[in-house]
Parts: sequence; C-alpha cells; structure tokens
Amino acid sequence: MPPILQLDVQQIISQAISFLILLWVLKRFAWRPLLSMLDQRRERIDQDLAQAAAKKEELTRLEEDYRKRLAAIDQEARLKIQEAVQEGKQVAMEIQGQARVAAQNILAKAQETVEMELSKAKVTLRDQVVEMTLEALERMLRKKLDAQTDRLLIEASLEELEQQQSTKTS
Amino acid sequence: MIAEALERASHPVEQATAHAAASAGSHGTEIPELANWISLINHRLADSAFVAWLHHWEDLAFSLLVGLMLCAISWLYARKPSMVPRGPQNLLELLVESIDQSVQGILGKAGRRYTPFIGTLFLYILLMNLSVLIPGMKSATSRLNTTLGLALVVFCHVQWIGIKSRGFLKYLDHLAGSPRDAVGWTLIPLMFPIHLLGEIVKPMSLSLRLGFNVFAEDVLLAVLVGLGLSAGLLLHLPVGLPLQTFVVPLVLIFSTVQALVFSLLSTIYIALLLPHEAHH
Repeated sequence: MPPILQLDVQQIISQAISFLILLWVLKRFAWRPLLSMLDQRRERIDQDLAQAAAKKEELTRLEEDYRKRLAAIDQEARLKIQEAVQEGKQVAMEIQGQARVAAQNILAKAQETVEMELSKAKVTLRDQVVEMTLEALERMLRKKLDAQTDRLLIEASLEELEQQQSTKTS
Repeated sequence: MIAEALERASHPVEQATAHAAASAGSHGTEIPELANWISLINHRLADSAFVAWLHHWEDLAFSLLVGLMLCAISWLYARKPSMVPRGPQNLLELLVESIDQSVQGILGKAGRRYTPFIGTLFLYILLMNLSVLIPGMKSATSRLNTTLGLALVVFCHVQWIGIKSRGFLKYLDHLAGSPRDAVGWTLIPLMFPIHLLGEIVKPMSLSLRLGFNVFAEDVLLAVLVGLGLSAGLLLHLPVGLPLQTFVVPLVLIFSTVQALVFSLLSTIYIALLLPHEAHH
C-alpha cells in the first residue's frame, strides 16, 4: 500500500489536536494583536485625515478672514492718510492766514509807531524853534543893536538849532 | 548501465550519503520518496525503539516543527506590534491583511471572526507543503493522516458555526433540506443522510485533493533527484545533477495554490452554512 494511504486514526486525531493548539497560539499571539493593530491604525489614519481636513478648512477660513481684515485695514489706512492730508492742508492754510494777519498787524503797528514818532519829532522841533526864536529875540532886544547885529544873532541861533537837530537825528 | 545506476541510487545507503536522495525502500513500496532526517536516522538506528516510534510519528513531528516555527514567528514579531511597523512586522501585516480581506470578501464584514481560523489553516498548509524544499524535511501534507486531521477540524468547525449561527433546530432544518410542504417532509429520510454525507464529503474531498497533490509533487521531486543522482553516477560526478531545480518553481506555485484552495473552500463551506443575511 502506498504510504499516503496508510491511515491511522491516532495520527489523524493528533494532527487535528496539534492544529487546534497552533490555532489557539496564533490567535492569541498573532491574529488578535495584528488585526486589532490594523484596526487601530485604520481608525487613527481616518481620524488624522478628518482632523487634517478640518484644519485645512479652518486654515482656509482663517486665511480668508485675514485677507478681508487686511483689505479693511488697508482701506481704513488709506482713508486716514487722505483725512490727514486734508487736515494738514487745512492747518497749513489756517497757519498761513494767521501769519498773514499777524504780519499785517505788525506792519500797521510799525507804521503807526513811525507816524507817532514823526509827529512827536515835529512837535519837539516846533517847540525848539519857538524857544530858540524867543531866545534870539530876547538877545536882540537885550543888546538893542543894529539890524546887522540882529541878523547875525538870528543866523547864529538857526545854525545852533540845525546842529542840535542833526545830533538828534544821528 | 542506466538500470544498474538507478538501482544503486535507490539503495538506502546511497540516500543516506546523498542526504536528499530518492528513496524507494524505506516504506517497502515501489513509489520513490525523498529521504528526511528521521528516515535517515531510522536507517542508521533501525533497532532503536525510540527511533522506530519517532519514524512512526514523523508526519506529526514535521507538522509540529512547522507549527513551532509559526509560533516562534508570532511570538517574536506579532505579539506586541508597534503602531509604526518595522522589519518583519510589515510582511506579517501584509499577509494578515490580505487573508483578512479575502475572508471578508467571501463572508462579508462578519467574516472577520473567522479570519484567524482560515489564516492559520492557510499558513500551516502552505508551510507544510513548502517544507519539502528544505533538505531533510518532509511535507506532512503528503500524508492523508495530516490532511484528514485538518479536514476533521474544518468539518467540526463548520458544523459548529452552522449550529451557532442558525440555532440547532434551523441547522437540522437545513440538513433536512428545509422541508416546507408534504413532499419535502416525505423526502426527509432521503435528504437528511444526503446532506449529512455532503457535509462530510466536502472537507474530505479537500483533504484528498491536498494530500494527493502534495504527494505527487514529492514523488516528482524524488524521481528527479533519483534521476539526477543516476546521471551523476553515469558521468562519474562527485554529486548528482540538480534536475529537481527545474520543478521547484512548479512546486512553489502548486503548494501555494493547494493551500489557497483548501482555505478558500473552507471559507466557502462556512459561507454556505451561515444564514444568508450574515454574509450579505
């Protein structure tokens, strides 16, 4: 009989038992750990992918938000610059107007002062002329001299008066 | 000359020196077989009772060796798998996931609970089939004792799944051909034995297919090794010609196909006994 056909019930049952023992060992130490690990990894990858998608969506939303904010800030800055420029121009015009008014006031005051000084000088001059004339007349009368002498006295008084005038103006 | 060389090559002493020679006389039959380390010890120490006992149980010894190898691999690389796989864990995960997907492809998502049984069956048979390619080893699946042992487990497991998933009465109803009318009830004495026989024959056919295919592969290898040795003797070479190398790819393919057929048909038997909604 060929060896393959030499059946032995004990060997058949032994082979069955050895397979069952192997099945128990592999189930305990290979199949369960590996299958549960594969499931865990699959779940983790699913979770990570979902998280990545959510984060990407959030990132896109934030990017859009920031872009809008930047655009608003840019617009606001442009408006503020324009306002500042306008305000600056207005302030400059006001300052110019004030300066012009102040200058006119100063000029008017200076003219007024000059005129006052001039009128004062005129009054002083007239008083001095009067005084000198009176002094010359007094001298003339005191000496009672001739017309030639009177003339000389008056001229001498006038020269004296001119000298005084020139010293005052200098 | 050739006949003389063949005769010399088939002598047990020649087998022992060649370590992979074809044997024709170890079991007292005409069919050549490759020598293995137990048969070689038996030739050397034929008087030892322990060696005789070991020789009697050599199929179990070789299947236990394969089983121990699987246990060692599981213990070393699959006991505490890491979330980021490295080294052999990658290969094991690829294997486990492929088997799991195949089983779930037939049984649906509920088939996950049967993946360890089918996967172990596949790996055990595959490694036993391939072990003949290692010098000194023997395919335990080339004996019906081994394949019938596996068929017995498959039969008991499948019937247990049928009883567990359907309930005992519905299981009996299934075996009786699900009688719903007078004709059906009348045919129960005929249908019940036929269905029961069918359930027994299914795994038995698996075991016969697997056993004879692997046995044929081993015989083919043994014949080619014997021819190679004979050719070596004729050509006065120190070693035989490795003629069996040409059929090694075939052995690899057939071993894988036989393991696949056994495990996938077992899966289908489970599917046939499960309630229809369980795997749809």
